[in-house]
Amino acid sequence: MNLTVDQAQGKAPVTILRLTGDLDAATYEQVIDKARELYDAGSRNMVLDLRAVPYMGSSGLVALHAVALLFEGETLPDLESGWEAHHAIGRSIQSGKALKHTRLLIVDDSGASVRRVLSRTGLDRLIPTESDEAAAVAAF
Amino acid sequence: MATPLTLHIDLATLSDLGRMRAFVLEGAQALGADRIAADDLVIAIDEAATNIIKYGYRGSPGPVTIQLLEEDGTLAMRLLDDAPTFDPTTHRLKVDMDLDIGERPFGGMGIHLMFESADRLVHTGRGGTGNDLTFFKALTHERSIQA
Repeated sequence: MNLTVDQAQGKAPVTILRLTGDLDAATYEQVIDKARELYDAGSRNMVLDLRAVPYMGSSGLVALHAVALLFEGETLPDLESGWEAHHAIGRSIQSGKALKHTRLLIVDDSGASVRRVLSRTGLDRLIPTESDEAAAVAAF
Repeated sequence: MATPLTLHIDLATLSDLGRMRAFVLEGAQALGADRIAADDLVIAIDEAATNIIKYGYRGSPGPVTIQLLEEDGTLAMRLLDDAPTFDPTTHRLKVDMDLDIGERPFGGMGIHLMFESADRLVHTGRGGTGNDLTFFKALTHERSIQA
């Protein structure tokens, strides 16, 4: 997993974290750690660019959810406690509360698993998705 | 009986997941699966193997074998391990799919995705320790919808 960071300006400053490579159980913690570093450095609005992610599984969902919670200023679930992190996603979906400080940037030809996993679990109802980078930035 | 395509890893860790996904994607398509069906099997193997390595072997390296076999328009993807017995199909029985994910008493997103990605799952114990889990998937998306 390769991670790069860009800064952009919507109505507010926006950090773009670009992911390249598979987002699975072997790599998802890198994304959370990097997002935490950016939040601690002052970033408050996040675009997660998933356009170069060929594969994402449920561990990737945990990462996306954790980043979105982080940027809401909320406490992260215990990522080491097995299914608790997954159940935390379910509780967020159930609450219906949108996570407003994160956008997912995906495109139609993103890895098939990215769209499929997002829609089969309902996470795309929780974190807004965009297919255009300018629109994702302008949303903040 | 045809010889299955086989990938065996003696000491599998999370860093082997990419290798397993590549084997399933290429093998499933070589046996006639369309891309949609092959991608679904990739999701299924990733979730199942992640569970074995993280929760079955608790992070220690352990053996994993994947076999792919086509018969009468259906792919059978068999996953063998030496981890403590865990039958996801019994957990599935406890999961009410009409409930929101957060209300479901068992299973994480991974088990949910395993079931969503296959037409049928069969688990067989291997005498106390070890699991033999087979995912069945129609070769084409159209047949999979009918299954």
